Amino acid sequence: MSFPRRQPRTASPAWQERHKMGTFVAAYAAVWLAVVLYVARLGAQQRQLARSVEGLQLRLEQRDAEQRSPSVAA
Amino acid sequence: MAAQLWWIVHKDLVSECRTWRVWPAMLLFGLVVAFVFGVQADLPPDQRPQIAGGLLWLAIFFAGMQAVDHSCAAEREEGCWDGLLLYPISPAAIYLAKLAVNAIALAALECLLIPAFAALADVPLMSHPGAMLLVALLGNVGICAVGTLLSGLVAGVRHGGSLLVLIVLPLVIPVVLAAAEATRLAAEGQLGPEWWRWVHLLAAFAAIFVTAGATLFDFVIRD
Amino acid sequence: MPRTADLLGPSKERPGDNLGTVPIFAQRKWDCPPLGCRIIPDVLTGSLVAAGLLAISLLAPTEKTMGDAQRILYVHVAAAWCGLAGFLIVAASGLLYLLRRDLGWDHWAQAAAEIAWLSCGLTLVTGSLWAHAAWNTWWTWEPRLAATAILWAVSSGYLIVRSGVEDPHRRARAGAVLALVGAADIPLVIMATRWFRGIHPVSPQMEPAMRVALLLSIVAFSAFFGLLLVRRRGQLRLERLLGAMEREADG
Repeated sequence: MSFPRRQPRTASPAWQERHKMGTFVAAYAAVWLAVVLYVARLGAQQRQLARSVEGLQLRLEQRDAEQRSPSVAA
Repeated sequence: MAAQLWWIVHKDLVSECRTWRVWPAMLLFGLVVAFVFGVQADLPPDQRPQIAGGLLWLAIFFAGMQAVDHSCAAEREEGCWDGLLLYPISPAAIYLAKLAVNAIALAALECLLIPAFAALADVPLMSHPGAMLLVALLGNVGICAVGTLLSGLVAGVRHGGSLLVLIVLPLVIPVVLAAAEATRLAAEGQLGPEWWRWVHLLAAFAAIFVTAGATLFDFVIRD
Repeated sequence: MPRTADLLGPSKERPGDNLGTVPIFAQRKWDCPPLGCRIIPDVLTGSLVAAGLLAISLLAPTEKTMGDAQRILYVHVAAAWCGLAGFLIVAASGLLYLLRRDLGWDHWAQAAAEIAWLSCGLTLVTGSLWAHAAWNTWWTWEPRLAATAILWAVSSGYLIVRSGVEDPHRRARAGAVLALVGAADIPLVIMATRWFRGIHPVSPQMEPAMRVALLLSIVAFSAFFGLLLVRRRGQLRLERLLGAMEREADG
């Protein structure tokens, strides 16, 4: 089994010199961006859940209030 | 169990022969890809086998997925799914039968595509028919093993058809790759240890996927 | 006020089963944890991550040939390990769901799948950047890279299939089957450098300081993604609880 069939070219030292720092920064920026986006999404879902909890609480209170004092017929 | 298997295989094949819902589309799709390759391939003759194997198996995969998707989706659409489950047959047997039907469909596709590729791309794919037969058989079983299992999975899901290709392709890449390499070597006439290594890989994947499929199909079809 | 366990309804398909696998004290812990339980894991993980970043930037010496681009290794290896472990968790949770039919396991699977997808994608991206620095090519068809790409594609398919199924139990079953078949790729990723010949680096020579930095980076990454996993799983569980309570309030 021969892998790969086409050998990639090795970068020249001068080219490497120019791109080392940039590559390092790009990689860490990519990781940071992905993590930040995921955590932001988690936060958004948590806020959505909090809103649902509040809505549910409201509905339960309303239901309790209706059961305790039945409305007078018009 | 063999009788039950044969019953399902026979039922599916007869139903396809009566209605011709999938096979014509599948064969036409494969032919179109063969034409496109024939038009595109402007390479010198000694380089053509390198691409021919890969493109042949990609064509077989994409065209064959139509048949595989149909195997379980049609049962659900027509409402036959529950009937099939009521029949006293083990899920593994249903899986193996559907696998056989899909492998037969792919075999029919290959009977058309391999000569078409050989002619249009001018690649000697038919020079070692025994070798090609073995590669085609193992490749079929490998692709259909994963496809049948996952087709049962996405049968009830929204946009199940397009989803099927999306989830099957990554899993069968090793199979398609091995089959393509083996085809390339067969077309170049090099049936030595390297070719046998690819064939062993194909056999290993086929065995693993068929075992996994037969075990997991029970969970797939139970609603 | 009904008990949590009653409200959630049958989390298992067999009638009469309730939230059986999680004991009561653990339920309370994750539903409304006291302040200490909320803060301590975060603080601990935060300090581990900070230590890891310090180690990567200050402790680890600059490598001779690759320069600073070599530091990508610390993040790339950690992300790869998290991706593989994450997908293993997905497959294991899926298997446990199929055996026990308890939706609690499915929450672990969903959370782990998101983490694994993210980690695997980051592995491919950071690896690609490193390859561009080292070999002047963004991608090469090499066994380990191909296997990792397959793993990423499988986890993407997993998330897409899950989003297409409404019923929780059917969704859990579909995910479990897909994860178990996809788990066949994990040994391929791990053993790719041993079974096939390729150009992916295998155990390069490293100074002790570099090894420490690498270890610390892996631990920090794992802790962080583990924290995300647990939080996300808690969120999913809360969603199910809320859904049950809403149905109770309506019906």
